[in-house]
Amino acid sequence: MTQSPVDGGPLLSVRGLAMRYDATTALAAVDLDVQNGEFLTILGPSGSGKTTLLRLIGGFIEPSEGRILFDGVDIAHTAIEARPFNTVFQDYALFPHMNVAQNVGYGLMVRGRPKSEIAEKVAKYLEIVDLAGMERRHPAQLSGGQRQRVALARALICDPRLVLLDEPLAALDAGLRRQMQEFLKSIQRQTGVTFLFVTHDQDEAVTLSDRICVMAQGRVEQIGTARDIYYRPKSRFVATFFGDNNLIEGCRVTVDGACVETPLGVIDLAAPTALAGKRATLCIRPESLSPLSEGETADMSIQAQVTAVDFAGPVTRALLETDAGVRLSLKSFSRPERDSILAGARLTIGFTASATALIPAEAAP
Amino acid sequence: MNAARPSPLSGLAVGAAIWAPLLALIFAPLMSFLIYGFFQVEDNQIQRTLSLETYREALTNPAYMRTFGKTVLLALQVSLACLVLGYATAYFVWRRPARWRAPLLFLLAAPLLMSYVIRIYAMRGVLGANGLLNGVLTTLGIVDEPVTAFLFNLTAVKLTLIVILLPFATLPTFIALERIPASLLQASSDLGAGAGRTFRSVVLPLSLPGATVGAMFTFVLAMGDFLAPELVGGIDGFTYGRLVFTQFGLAFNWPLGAALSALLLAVALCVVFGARAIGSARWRR
Ligand SMILES: Nc1ncnc2c1ncn2[C@@H]1O[C@H](COP(=O)(O)OP(=O)(O)OP(=O)(O)O)[C@@H](O)[C@H]1O
Ligand SMILES: [Mg+2]
Repeated sequence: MTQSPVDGGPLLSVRGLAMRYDATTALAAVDLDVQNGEFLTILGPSGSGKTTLLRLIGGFIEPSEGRILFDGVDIAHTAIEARPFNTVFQDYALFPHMNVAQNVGYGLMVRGRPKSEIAEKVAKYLEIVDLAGMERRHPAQLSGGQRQRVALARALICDPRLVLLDEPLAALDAGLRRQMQEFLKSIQRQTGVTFLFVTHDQDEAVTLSDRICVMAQGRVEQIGTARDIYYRPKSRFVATFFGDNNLIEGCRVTVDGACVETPLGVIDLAAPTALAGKRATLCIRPESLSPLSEGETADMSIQAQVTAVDFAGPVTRALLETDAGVRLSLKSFSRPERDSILAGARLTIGFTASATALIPAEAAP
Repeated sequence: MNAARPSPLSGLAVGAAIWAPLLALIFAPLMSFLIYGFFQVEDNQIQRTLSLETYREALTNPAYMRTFGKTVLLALQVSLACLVLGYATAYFVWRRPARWRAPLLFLLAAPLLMSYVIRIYAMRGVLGANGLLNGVLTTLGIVDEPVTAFLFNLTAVKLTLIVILLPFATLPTFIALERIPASLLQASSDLGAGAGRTFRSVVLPLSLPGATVGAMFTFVLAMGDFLAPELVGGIDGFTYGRLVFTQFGLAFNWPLGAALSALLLAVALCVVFGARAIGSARWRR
């Protein structure tokens, strides 16, 4: 724990990592940097290669290709027991014949540490995971959440540089799950250990992570903060993976990359884009569209007809159609008094250029 | 009371209806057999008067007790060898790739499909003067001429029983090994343990109960066996099983045979309860 990665460089760098089974490619040339001390979540649908990536890093399987650089050394083919990482397994994988103290102390016992030191550290880590007094219990006598915490303490006690967690909360019910999320996050902050966490639950990823790595079909689609992923998707997959989004097809970025021509009008781009001179699709979140009242202005304003309204408690959703025939969905906080959003009404809606994102246009079918 | 739920009394009745005939089938012959031990033989005639005389004779005669002690020792050695060899075999099979395990297990269990007598004769073929073992030894030049000491003595009985009973120790061990989740082995390596440490701290403690139960089984079988000692044991290989057997055959003393085998039954029961205790270790809940 005292060592630090080379001057602010990443703790772990994955380069061109690939894993192929006979016919399937579980992972295709993945690049990923894990920063020291961060909570990085790997998020993706089932079969996207999350577990494969985690198991490759943990050392449970060997890659077909690529490197895993740790402290500048390629450890892609190093034995599991020689990697300073520890894993929290989805089924906890607690040793059934050992009690809680023996389970937690296993990593230290294996390293031949003196009994007194083991007892001391076990007590400390059981305190951290809030299980003091449970030393003599066997795993069969614990609840799911308690087993989870034993597994976490057992991983943390070895002072790992990186903790790998593969859907550790999947087996817990919703209430306990939320509680454990907070718990995980606070432990991670408290210990400052780097967490690499796998989930296919978007809310969980957003709640827990410093950064999210979105995967699909064995590839990394995008890495960034939750806000980045949400508002600045780089691909169609990411744009539609999280919640609702308006995708406006048929846009073209000017050759100088300064603005984009869209069916909603020409939008000046705030940030430079890699899509200069190319066909593109514009993304804007339904809640980034807001109805303008008389006299209000916005970067962009458009006229639209409300085709349907859906009052859903805290938010009201509406379907709009612009004069140019573009369909949009809009989401705004509901208000107690009569809303200006009424089916059939004409509406002026506005949005800021910074709330939009550009992704490459879909290849012509 | 809820009408839909059957009353505890009717449940009991159903249970009794199922279990009573089964228990009767198992226990009636056993009881009648034990009762034979209360009869005696005089002038080659079974006297059907109840007394403890035959049981007393069976349990105190020094010659019988010596044979019993010798057989216990033999069965201990056989079951210990089965434990070690069975564990090694099961472990070897378990470590093979999944697609090899089923065929290997089948090979191991195949002898069980053969008649017991044929297996013993097969062992006679292996151990005899012109047998496989001597063939190998003479070919390798380890001995100059065939050794006759492999057959018709207590060692031959041990070797035969070990070979024949090995599957009974191997299979339970293999099942115990198979039941260890792969994630436990991964967790152990993940926490820094090498292969040896993982074996000692995880694999062995989790599979030893199953292996021990298997070995106990071979102990009981070795204790009572009379065919193998009879066919490969010679005079030296006279065991308790043969002692019992002769009472029913040559000596025609059924009461004594029954009384002597009551001791075997007691040993078997002790072993069963011992196995139960091992199987219900505290951590299994
Ligand atoms: N041992 C294997 N042999 C063959 N194919 C495999 C193997 N392990 C994984 N795969 C394949 O690799 C792909 C990625 O699997 P992986 O387990 O990494 O997905 P995942 O993202 O963890 O999914 P989930 O959310 O369902 O856990 C899948 O298509 C899977 O079928
Ligand atoms: Mg998975």
